Amino acid sequence: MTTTNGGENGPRLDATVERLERRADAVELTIRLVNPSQQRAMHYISDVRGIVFDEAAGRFVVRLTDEGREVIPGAVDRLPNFARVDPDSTALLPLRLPGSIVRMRTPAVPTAEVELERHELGPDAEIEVVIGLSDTPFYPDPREPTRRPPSILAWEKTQARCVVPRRKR
Amino acid sequence: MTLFIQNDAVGAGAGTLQPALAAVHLAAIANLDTGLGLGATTGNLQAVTYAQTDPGIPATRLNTLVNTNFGVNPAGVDIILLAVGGDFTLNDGSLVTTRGGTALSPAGSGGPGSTLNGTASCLVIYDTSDDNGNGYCLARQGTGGTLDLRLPLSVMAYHELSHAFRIVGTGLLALTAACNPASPEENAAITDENDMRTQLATLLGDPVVLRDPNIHCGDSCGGGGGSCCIVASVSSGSPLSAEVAELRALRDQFLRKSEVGFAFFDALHYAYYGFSPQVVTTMATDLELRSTALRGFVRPLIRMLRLIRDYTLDGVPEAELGCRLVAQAIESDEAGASLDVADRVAALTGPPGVPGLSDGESAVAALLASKALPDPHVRWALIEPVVAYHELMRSARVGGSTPDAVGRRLAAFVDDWAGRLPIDARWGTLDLAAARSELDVLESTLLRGPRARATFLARLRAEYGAATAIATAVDERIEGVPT
Repeated sequence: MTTTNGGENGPRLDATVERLERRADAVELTIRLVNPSQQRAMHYISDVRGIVFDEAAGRFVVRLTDEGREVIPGAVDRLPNFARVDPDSTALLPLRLPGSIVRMRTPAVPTAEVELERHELGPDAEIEVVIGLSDTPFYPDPREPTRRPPSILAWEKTQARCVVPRRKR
Repeated sequence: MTLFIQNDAVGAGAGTLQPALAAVHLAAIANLDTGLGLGATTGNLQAVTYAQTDPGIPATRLNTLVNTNFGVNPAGVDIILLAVGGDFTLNDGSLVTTRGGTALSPAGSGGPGSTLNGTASCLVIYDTSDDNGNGYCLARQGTGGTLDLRLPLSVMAYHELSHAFRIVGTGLLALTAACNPASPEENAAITDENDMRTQLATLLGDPVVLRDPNIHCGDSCGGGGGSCCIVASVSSGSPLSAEVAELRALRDQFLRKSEVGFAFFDALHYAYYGFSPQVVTTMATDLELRSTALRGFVRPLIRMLRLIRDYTLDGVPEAELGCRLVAQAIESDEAGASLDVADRVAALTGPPGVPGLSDGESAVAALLASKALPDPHVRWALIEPVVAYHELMRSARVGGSTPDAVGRRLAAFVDDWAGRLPIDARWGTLDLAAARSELDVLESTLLRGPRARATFLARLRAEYGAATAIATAVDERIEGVPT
């Protein structure tokens, strides 16, 4: 249930699953985040940006990071929410996940109709939580945007991960 | 005909797709032009037809989208509109609630979003859950980026159709990941969006407020803004009624400005919208129930929150509180009938099976029992103050209590109630400075009394003492160390 991240001396948070409750239409997770650094606070993305289902592995990846997020037109470009953990401190991060996700199939040959598939975040699925973090706060970069990578990805220095294992049969 | 609404979908469309809403939003875009219609259904696709008579800019754009063969899809299905729920994710994993909506280039076209699209059509996808009821807040023009401008769903649909217009027609402009400054493509879509905002405001008789075309950033409104108090809106007759305005103001005065207050209302909002739409549906055909909701819940809640504010924020003495409550008992416009209303409230919020309720009231009692009362936020914020108000009023009216005695009972209730403020998980994420600040806010508002303060701090320590910042901030208060 526990994984850690980061290099020997780089930014790091240790993430573990503190609590999991399954409700009728939601999964409520609490992640314990421990900052082992004696000197620096760690800043992290604190809301869910995406949920990817890996069908082959039967695993959901809950992303608190913009890694893998495509640049497409949209009505709203919602910035993530951020939080921090003080040096040598622990925080508890609550996450409310939908009980299931609905996504569109993207077959090799385009179909005439939209095909959707629903995947339940049930006890038979593994849930991995990936949290983007840095040892500096995020500030929007006011420079000309076309000459640099997306600023949130540039800000993120590493990731913390933890896993809710699937139910044992 | 090149614009279609997705009625259902192969797989899991039911419950996720909202084609009726899509049709309503197109009607708003057409400025209620009666030339808009729905044509033949092909599979799960509903054709949109339009014989334009309205000369407006959005209607003209819609006319172009409906009546031009863009030749994107050989089957003639150039654009498909999908009105989806908040559980929809794109295939890059992004939740639709983090984007509001999007327009995907046709599969195989190489355009933005084409790898996320399973069809040969341009897909316009937008979130009809309105960020699960929280609403989207965008940069209001002239404010330098203040994110307080709401995004009506018809405006969101029009924004995405603006992208679709360029995807199937003239070609997308440059698109970047950064939201400030907005990319040329988003600048163009926001400029179009403002045409729709102008049209909608004119239609509703509201002042025109525009979005800043140079800032594409947005955020969740977090349960605030205009999306407040659905039961109060319906029972009082309007979302703009005095009752709704006062509830919103009281909510914002109390807790919502702080981090944990915001989280509290997020949780309350989530639970409240789990049952209130069903209550409203029942109220639509039951005038008696509407009256009970207004006189038994909405107005008493407002009056009680006012009294709580008077006591906790303004420091009004107990005797004066009692006088104010007794005055309400005498002056209340429902004085003659209020005991009956109080009985109905007690029946609706008490043990099930009380005889004498109408069918509608019985349905609401069942809803409250299964969804409202078990939720600590709803029970604490909405039910307990109302029940207490009716009990206090009863003692003032028929119990012969003096204003002093009523005031003491009211103060005792508030001290007990405030100490039981639900503790949200947001507390666990706070750093030490934020934890201190949040407790400072609470202690200067709800937790003024020593009993309320002690109760709350002990609960917080027990619940979130594993978080370093909470343990430290609570301990230094309990031990009396100045901060």
